[in-house]
Amino acid sequence: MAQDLNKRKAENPVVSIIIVVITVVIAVALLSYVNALTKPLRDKYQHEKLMSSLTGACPLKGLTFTSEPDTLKWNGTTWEFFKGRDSGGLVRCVAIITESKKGYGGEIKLLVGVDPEGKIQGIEVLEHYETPGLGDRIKTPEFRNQFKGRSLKDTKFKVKKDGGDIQQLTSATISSRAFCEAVKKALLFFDANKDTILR
Amino acid sequence: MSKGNLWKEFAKGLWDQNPVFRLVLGMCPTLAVTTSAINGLGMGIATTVVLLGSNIIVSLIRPIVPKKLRIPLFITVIATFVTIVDLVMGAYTPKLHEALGIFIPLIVVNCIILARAESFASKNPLLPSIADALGIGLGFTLSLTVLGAVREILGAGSVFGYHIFGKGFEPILTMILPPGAFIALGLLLAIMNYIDLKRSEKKG
Repeated sequence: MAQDLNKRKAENPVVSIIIVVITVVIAVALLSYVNALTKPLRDKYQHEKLMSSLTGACPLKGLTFTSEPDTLKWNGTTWEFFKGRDSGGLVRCVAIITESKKGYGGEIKLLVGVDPEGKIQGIEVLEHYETPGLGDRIKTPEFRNQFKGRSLKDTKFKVKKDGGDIQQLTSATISSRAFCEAVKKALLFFDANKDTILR
Repeated sequence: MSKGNLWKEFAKGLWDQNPVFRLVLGMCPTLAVTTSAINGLGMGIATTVVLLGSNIIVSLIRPIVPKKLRIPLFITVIATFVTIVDLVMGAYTPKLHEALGIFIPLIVVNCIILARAESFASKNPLLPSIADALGIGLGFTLSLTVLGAVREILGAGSVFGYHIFGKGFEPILTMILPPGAFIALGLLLAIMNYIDLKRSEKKG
């Protein structure tokens, strides 16, 4: 009996369409409600994460950052960076978003903090797909801190294996190379556009 | 449906029909996210919530769903719950949400959930469907947590992020890499089979 009923319903396409439409409408209504409810919290987390990365790249105390990045076209790509101003309104540190596609697991995205002289203040890893336990050690302070205070003038941003000045991670040379490349790109970008950026 | 039967529907998911170790279903999240105990637990709970929601709704709409339309409708129900879980986790447990990444949206295609909707909830009333979802969900959660814990202990020397060995401990890195998932799963399966064997021997 119940099966006969099912058969009859299924044979009528109008009923089928109505049932599907009702289901989808309920689902959409529910999802937009949950989305509206949780969006502020998700945005807040993303913002906090970005801010903690910014203070990591530019550790100088008392800087204020804009919540949205500035953009500048150079060398075929659009660069994004955050200016950190002190209480006097002077730009003391610029946090540049940079990336390298030569990581072991794909793209490595960094936030490199540079002072007006082009010296590195700090580096934060924003995104990476390196192997856990091997390549993902690019996140460790031991590796990142060796870049602090270095600039294009006094450093070859290559791993020691390739004749540069950067101590590569053991058994993660590819990740280290990609990291160096991303940092170097950021410094070159800063060097070439210094006047525009610091204005 | 008596209480004993409800208990039976619940308990079967823990051992006899354990989704990971007995049915060997849902292997994609099982192998991919169990790099630590907390990841396994989080994935298990997320899946259980989706499973519970989809079993409840599927069981309730069972009388009005035309046979030919059931799969698309079940998938819509499941996808809705998965998206809700995804959004809520992003808001309240952002760190875990990030660690599990793409595997949260992928719960939609976790065959355990559609299998329970199709083979159980669409044929049974509400209460047994809830018991079934909780049992299978808890079985999945426990399996993933144990698997995650084993891999984390061997591969990182910690459980739930707490280091349990001294500094002299050299972790077996492989265990938190993909091959370690297969090794740990195989070993746990062997242990379960051994226990089952001993149990049936005792019964005679």
